[in-house]
Amino acid sequence: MNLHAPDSLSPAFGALADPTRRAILERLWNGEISVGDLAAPFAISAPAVSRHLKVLEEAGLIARRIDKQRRMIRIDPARLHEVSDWVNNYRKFWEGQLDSLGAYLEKQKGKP
Amino acid sequence: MTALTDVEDLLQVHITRVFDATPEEIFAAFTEPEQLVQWWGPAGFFSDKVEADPTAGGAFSVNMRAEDGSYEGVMSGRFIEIAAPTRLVLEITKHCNGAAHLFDATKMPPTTITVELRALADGRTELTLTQTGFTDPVAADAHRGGWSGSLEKLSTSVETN
Repeated sequence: MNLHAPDSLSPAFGALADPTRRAILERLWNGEISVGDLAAPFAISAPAVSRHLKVLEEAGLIARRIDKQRRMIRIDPARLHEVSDWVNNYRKFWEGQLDSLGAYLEKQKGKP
Repeated sequence: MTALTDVEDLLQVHITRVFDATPEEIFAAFTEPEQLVQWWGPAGFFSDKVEADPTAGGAFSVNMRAEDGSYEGVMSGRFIEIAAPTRLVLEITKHCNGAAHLFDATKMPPTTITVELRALADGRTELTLTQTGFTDPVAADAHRGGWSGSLEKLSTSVETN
């Protein structure tokens, strides 16, 4: 088992710790949108959205570009997948644990 | 919004498994030290040191050793909730890693393991295991040296003004 989290993941976990930032990623999940469209459903100020985006960008979770006059934002899937792979190590660990538990319960059944 | 589930699902462990045993048998296997020591550890690993006090706040500590001797680690924490035979919640504060040189355990935030057991009509039991906390705010402070916390305070004050 490799439960190693490279240091690059620390800022990512930190960025993901905030529910608003996770909600922002959710909005981006379906594709690239403009900063204006992204901010619309959030009941927070534009500077607050901007700060959240900065945290997400520094953590490598989103990427920005300018399309003509519009500031566009999209998910950077590579980093999110790194985070998910790391959590997945635990998933594999527990799958293995439950295999062992199943084998143990099976063995117990055979006993009087 | 269903997409939220997609992102959240990436950030937690959620496993469902059906066992040919009663909820009582599975609950006991998860909470009694003399049983834990017999099955703990995925293939290639075993445990020979277990401490488990299945009461709310009670200690939980299980070691895990590789059969080839290449690894030994301890996973420990405490029981948060005990509701035999349907639900138990564990907080893991010390995580063990697959190999000594890999993850620095001091950086690993506490995670929460929830095991829920549901008796099925056919006499078997459905077990659901979730592990959450990878993205808890506590983790953010540990990872970011508290900077994230002050940022949150800042954005909260901006939002309320």
